[in-house]
Amino acid sequence: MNDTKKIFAISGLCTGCRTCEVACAVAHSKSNTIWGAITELPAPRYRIEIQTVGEVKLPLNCRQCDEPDCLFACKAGAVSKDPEDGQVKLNLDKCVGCWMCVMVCPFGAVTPDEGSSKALKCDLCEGRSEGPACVSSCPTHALIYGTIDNARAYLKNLGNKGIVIKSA
Amino acid sequence: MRYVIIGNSAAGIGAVEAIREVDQESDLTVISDEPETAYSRALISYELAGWIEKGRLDLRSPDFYKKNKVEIRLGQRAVKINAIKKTIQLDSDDQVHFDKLLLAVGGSPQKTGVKGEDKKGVFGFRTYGDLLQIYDTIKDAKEGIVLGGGCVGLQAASGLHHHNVKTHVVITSPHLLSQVADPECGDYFQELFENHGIQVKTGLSTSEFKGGERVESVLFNDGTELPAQVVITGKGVKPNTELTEGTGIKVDWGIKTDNRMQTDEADIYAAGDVVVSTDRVSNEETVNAVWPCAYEQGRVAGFNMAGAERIYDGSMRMNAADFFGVSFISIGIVKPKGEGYEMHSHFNRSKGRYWKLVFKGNALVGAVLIGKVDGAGVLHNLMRKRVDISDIKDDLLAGHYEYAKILPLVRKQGDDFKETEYEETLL
Repeated sequence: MNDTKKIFAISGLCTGCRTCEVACAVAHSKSNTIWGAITELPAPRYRIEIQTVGEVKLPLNCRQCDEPDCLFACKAGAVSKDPEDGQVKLNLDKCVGCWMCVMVCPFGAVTPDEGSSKALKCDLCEGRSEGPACVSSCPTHALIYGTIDNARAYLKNLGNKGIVIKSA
Repeated sequence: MRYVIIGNSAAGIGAVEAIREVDQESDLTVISDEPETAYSRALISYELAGWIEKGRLDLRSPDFYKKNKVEIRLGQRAVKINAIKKTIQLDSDDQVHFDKLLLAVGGSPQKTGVKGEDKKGVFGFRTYGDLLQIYDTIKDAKEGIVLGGGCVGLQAASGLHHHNVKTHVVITSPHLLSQVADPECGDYFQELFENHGIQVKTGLSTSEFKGGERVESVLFNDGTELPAQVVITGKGVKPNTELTEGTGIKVDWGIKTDNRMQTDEADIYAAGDVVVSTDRVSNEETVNAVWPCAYEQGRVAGFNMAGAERIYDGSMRMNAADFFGVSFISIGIVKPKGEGYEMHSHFNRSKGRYWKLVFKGNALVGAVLIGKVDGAGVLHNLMRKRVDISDIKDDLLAGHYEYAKILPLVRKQGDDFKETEYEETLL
């Protein structure tokens, strides 16, 4: 669905500073503070990852797929696609850690959380009033929460200002 | 229009959800010979092992059938199909008419064919009904045997062990997981199971289930006799093709379909463990009786039944499991027979990590991961899409298969990556 809101990364703006990873982990910690998060056990995990290939830095997380392979593969009925907003949701209460989703996600964006023995993926900071923590934390504004049209408009706007972005 | 689906598991549910994406109005009936609403039969071993609470196997929310306007007929067995009159005879003497029918009837545990197999206490392990009977049997069972060393067998063994049943896993092959991994992996898991108190015996075939009405022991071909009051057989699954009798539906071990999941009878479709399909990686005609394939086949069938054309591009052999906290994934051709394969593997025993990659020409065709399975889906996707991986082979062999490493391929070989999600990573 073209109107699914998700997190888009403008890799040309990413410096690889990993602030998004830290913000993600903090937002998913019990204390919700960086100092609390550092000492928490089990350590809070991040669900966005800066990956590199050559010179390119790509912040990567769940792509909220139109045809979510994780949903098709989930034998616990823990994954659903919200008919309203198109977002792919993981119900941790139902997840059994069978790793079927890990086996089929084309982006490698679902990973095993060894601490909880359950799957881990971006939940778009559901319930966080400020929206996804990675987006608001990014110092170079390389992350956008919105639709693909929002993301393209953002890129175009940068172009209009004379900022040339090299695509991934 | 009346859609009828026989079967209420992965393929059946996949079809219901696909049909309702296209057609919210027509009648839709689901028939199941089991009394339960849709549950995950793949998780009965998880429940037996105490990894999940009892009675938490529901696949969908309780209002699933209502929300999708499904007439559900539980505990009713379809016994005969009349493809000309388009009717299904039920064991309750009722008849159901269909315009479009999906056979999502699954498979049944393979019989061992060994004397005494029908004794009480000997189980296939497939349905919730089996699980309930096993609960009942292990109340007074001290010893148990699992015959078969695949993923299901091993999980069943963990389950018996969890209930304080002294358990042996006995297999004909020389090592555990012989269909899906190399000897060194099987040996690694054997050690893991034995460290947890589950004994493994290899290279033995079953000669007889002994006892009175109830099984008391199992005799093996080398004369070994092991006491057991409960036995679980894990010898694989046989497609339930009985309903095709008297129809024009072609069967070759499983039901044959075209790439729209349509059988030789125009208005009858088939999906899931009952279907023989083309394996995307090996090109062989085979039954890949795994959850993701079943759901996807059901989904493709559902769309086509509802008039929205979808093409199924073939199944894949794959398996994922977790044994005592050790993750395990096996995809594609991992024990190749014949020429032209290139294999690489590495075992880091101290870290409990193993990987194996199998290549044929410029394609990745198989992967096994133990201990660290992150990124397995990226490898799966390269196999599924039969991508030319020449440009990134060194990365793969260095253990780098995070998604960004395939970006050069997404850019250069765009035809392989048509879905919008890939384009979105190139912003």
